[in-house]
Amino acid sequence: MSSAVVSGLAVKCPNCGASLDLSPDTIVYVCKYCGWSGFVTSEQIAIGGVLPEDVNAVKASVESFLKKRTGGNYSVSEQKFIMAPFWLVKTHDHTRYNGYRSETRTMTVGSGKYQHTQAYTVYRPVKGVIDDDLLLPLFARRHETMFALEKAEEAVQGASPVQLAQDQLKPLAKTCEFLSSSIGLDEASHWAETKVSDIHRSKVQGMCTKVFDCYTEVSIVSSQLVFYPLYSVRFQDKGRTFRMLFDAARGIVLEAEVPITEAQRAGFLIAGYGASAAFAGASYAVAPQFTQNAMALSLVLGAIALGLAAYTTLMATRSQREVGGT
Amino acid sequence: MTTYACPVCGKGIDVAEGDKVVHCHYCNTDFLTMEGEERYVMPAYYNSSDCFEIFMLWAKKQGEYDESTPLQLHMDSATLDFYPFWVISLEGTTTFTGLGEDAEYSWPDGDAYRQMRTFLRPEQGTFDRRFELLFPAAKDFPQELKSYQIPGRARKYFSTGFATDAGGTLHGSVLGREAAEQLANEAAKQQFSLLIDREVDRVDTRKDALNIVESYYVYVPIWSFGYSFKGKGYRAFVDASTERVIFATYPPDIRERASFMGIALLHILVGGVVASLLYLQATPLSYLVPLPLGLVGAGVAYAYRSLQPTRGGEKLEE
Repeated sequence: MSSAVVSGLAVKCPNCGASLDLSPDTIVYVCKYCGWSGFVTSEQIAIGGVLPEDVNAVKASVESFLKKRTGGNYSVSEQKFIMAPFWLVKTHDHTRYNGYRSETRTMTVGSGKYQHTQAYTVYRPVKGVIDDDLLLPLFARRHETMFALEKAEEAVQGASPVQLAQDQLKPLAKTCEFLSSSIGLDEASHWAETKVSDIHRSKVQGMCTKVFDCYTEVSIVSSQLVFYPLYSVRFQDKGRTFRMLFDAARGIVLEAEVPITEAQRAGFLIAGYGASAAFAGASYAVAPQFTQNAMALSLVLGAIALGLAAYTTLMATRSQREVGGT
Repeated sequence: MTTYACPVCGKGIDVAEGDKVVHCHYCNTDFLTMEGEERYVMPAYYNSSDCFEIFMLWAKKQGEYDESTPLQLHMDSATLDFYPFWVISLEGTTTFTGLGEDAEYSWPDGDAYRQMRTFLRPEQGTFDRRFELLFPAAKDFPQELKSYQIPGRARKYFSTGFATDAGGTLHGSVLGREAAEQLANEAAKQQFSLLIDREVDRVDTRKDALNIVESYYVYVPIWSFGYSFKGKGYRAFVDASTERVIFATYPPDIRERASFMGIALLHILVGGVVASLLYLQATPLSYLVPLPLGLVGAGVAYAYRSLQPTRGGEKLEE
């Protein structure tokens, strides 16, 4: 190799003196040798986080999950045990909005044989304020994403992080990789403001046919950098690869792609054909009682059968399915 | 001496160390090397065989190949390109005044109104936003990768060794720092315009205060493969720093597609014929029509499966 070997951000751990080669993006890191945590400027900060279950317990749960879902013939092609950084930003928000919602109503006009119903439109003013507090999770790695990141953010949102002392971090840094944070406090706050505006706006749009105004003011109540334990796995089964993200704090699968077994495929197909047959039977039994609209009823039931069969057949012929929360 | 690919025509030009502006004698244009500027690079962590292996697994999954079908893709060519990008973060505030819509309501009807009249009234507002923008700096950046996002993962300070050791080609730039920042400013203003247009119909005054927080130049390594399968040629682009398949064309599993199409036609045909026959029958037999319609539904699903796309990339969940 030529001159290109060490080209990251060279940092000396202020606690143990180890040389670390970090990404130039790094803002906060945990020393992988002694568990010291702080800014690249050598200023120490206490970090919050959630402790993982024992590594072996995590591996055992993942293994039993994969066994159950694949029939045992899988091979793991990549596995990473990481402590992933997230910003948890707490905001206090105020939105004022103005718009209207239109609805269609009917009224009866005329009398006697000229009586009929007529549709007309009404407008309902939608005006008010939203005051709320939100807790927003943001993956603290710039531009980066990973499989099932959204599920991981949900998990972080619901977690109760504690302060992690250096003697807790040190053994952890040996077993899993602490991803450094490349997003600072300012950027996280700005992101949170934009996010809140978007959330409120879509809420208001849901209430209105047309929005005239929607202005949001956000104040940041607190921001905390939280490390959350995740176990990410890529495995192969019958020559195809699947991905999985495991919550190592709660011991559950956040999301996994799993192969579909022949029995499941058969099940979906039988359900589809069975439903069509059942609808036909129901139609045959019930339709004659609706003398006026009998055929129309049959056709409506037929349309439902068509949709159901299309759905079950699509389900049966998928290459994989997503499972989670187990 | 470093070789740069001309960012316009793609031909390699040898450049003496420290040369900032280079003339391409093939296409007669000038381009920038950005030598001497602060540059970053995403290292090529994966070599061509790693990336091709990953790609084959991915293609197999996309094509819905059966375990029993050996997928024999033959790699015809593999080139590693380090394409330059500008990544620019800006923060800004826009303050505006103008005329915005409001409404008057009349003729109450329960809790709503039968009539509404919109009118314009003076309105003012402020938006604060942060933007992160990405601009390809080379013109020869493949069209298929237009929606490319830098996948993150440890960028490093640049040195030419990253490209030469991995056997990659460095690409020159047609976009200097000032020009890139100018583009970023315009893009941010456009984003603000979208926000403002949602609030007011007419803008009277507007003040933008934009501040570039960070801008950096980074090379991203991308493997581009040409491969063949049963005599036909296909292409694939794989990110060499993350192994992600960015874009590829791949062969469909002809056997599976044909069988799906066959099953589809059979279902639709049988279902359709039986349905029309039943429909023409006297009642109550015609009431059995949901059964053949269900077959038609299943047929549509099979047809959909047989018409899956043969191009695409690995999704980044966001």
